[in-house]
Amino acid sequence: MPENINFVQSYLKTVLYPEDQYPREKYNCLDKILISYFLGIINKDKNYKKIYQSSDIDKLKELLEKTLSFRKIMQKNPYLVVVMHEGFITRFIYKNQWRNGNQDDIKQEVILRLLNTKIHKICKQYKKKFKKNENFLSFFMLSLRNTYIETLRSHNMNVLNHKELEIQETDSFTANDFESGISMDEEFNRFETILKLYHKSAGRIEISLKLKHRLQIDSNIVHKVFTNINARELNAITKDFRLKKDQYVFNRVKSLFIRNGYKINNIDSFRRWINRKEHELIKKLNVFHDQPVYNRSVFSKFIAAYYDQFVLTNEQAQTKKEEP
Amino acid sequence: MIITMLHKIKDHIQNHLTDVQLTVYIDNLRKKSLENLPDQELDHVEHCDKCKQAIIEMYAFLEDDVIKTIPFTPGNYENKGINFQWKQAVAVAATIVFLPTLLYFTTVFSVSDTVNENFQTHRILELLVNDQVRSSNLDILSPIKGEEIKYSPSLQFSWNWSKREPLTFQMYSNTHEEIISLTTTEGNVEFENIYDRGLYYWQLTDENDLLYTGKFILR
Repeated sequence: MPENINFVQSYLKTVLYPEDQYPREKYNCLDKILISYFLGIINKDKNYKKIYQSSDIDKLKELLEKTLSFRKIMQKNPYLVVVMHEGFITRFIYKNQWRNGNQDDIKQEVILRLLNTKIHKICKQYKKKFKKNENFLSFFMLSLRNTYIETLRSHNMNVLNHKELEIQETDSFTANDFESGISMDEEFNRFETILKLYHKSAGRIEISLKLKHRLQIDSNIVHKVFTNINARELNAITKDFRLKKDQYVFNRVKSLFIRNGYKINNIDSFRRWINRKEHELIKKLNVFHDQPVYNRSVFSKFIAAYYDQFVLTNEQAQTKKEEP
Repeated sequence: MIITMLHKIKDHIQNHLTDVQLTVYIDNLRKKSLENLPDQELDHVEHCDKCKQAIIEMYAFLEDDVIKTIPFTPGNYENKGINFQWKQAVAVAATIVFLPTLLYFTTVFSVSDTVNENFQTHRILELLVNDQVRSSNLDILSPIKGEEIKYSPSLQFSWNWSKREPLTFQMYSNTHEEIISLTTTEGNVEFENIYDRGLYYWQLTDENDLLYTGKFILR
């Protein structure tokens, strides 16, 4: 018997819920939860109990697949899915709710909402739409996020409000933090990922940010963004604007933007547009931190470093690769 | 509830990505393979800050699951003036953690214990029984919550459901093992009594929501 429980444990860890897909540091007590559930089932069924007590490994494997595979659990016992993900629920709510201090109450309500109404739908919809189990965590987390937002709204509380707070100077990281406290490569990768969400607009936003922060624009990106460009315009946009005023910069690039189909009426609307995009980007970069660390001035330093250290290095590495 | 519904209607009108589409988007973003996605979805996210925000929040959470400083252990929630229901939830977690050991080192398979175990409550189902938000369209006639039923040849469940939509009836053992699952448009179901004595739970679910969780004891 002890051998059998060891077998169940190892089958869980290696076959049904392998560590690489279900890291135990994140799925708290996963094995204990599942073994407890399994013992509960076999204790109720004489045939299952016989299989468990026998030394027929093939039958035991079959029984484990039949009772403990993720699909079976979703089908037979969706509540267990919530219990299995309790660690994620806790961490998500603590991450988003830390400033308001009532994490425990919110968590309790979110769990009850999940158990009462959501988890059946989640499991049903997931089984219908997805063949493999690999996306489940993302799917579950989205439903958790929605449930969390609904819970806050039902109490007339602001949603994810701490992300929108203006950060204090002391909260933000400085040039020194760039070198020590925060992994800049990680931050650069995150920014690159965020830009991908802007799809076709990403290039235009990058150029506009560079213009706003007076960073050097290289011809490669200009050609990618503006298909309709002449030599004079290329020369104008790649100039050094560091000592120039906004109005001057805007006048030099205005016609190029318009000819390529980007509506741009006047300098104020252009400023407003890029400021809005910058605000969006800052908000998204702050999502990766427990407290907001980016404001406009930190962001300004950050993107200078991003283009100087990250993009440039990547481009150089790319060029080397392409060389015969 | 109304506010939530209004938000959902607004989202629907704005054609936001569904949870399924968002899931696929996030997973492709993590695998750096956004090119696999349909243009329509890429275009929507490009112009929709709400969807972008949802995606990046989930991406960030899944990227490093940040709160390593507050690892979850049931003990985290003790001594915080937590309310009764939460204590029950902690009990669920504690039960889950310690039950296997308990089951294993005690006489798990003895018959007398099995009889007693048949009457033990299931913590999660108990939470649902106690925290029921009853639908105004549903009236439960029998068995009432917690009713003790004398062991007899047949077992009957009945309710009034004012809508015409079918309901799913499910009956569970006290270990949450599903015993019966069927869909019906009738207001009652009846079964031949082939069950052991013990505590049982039953639920009614419409297409989307769990409407009712009840329990009864078969003596």
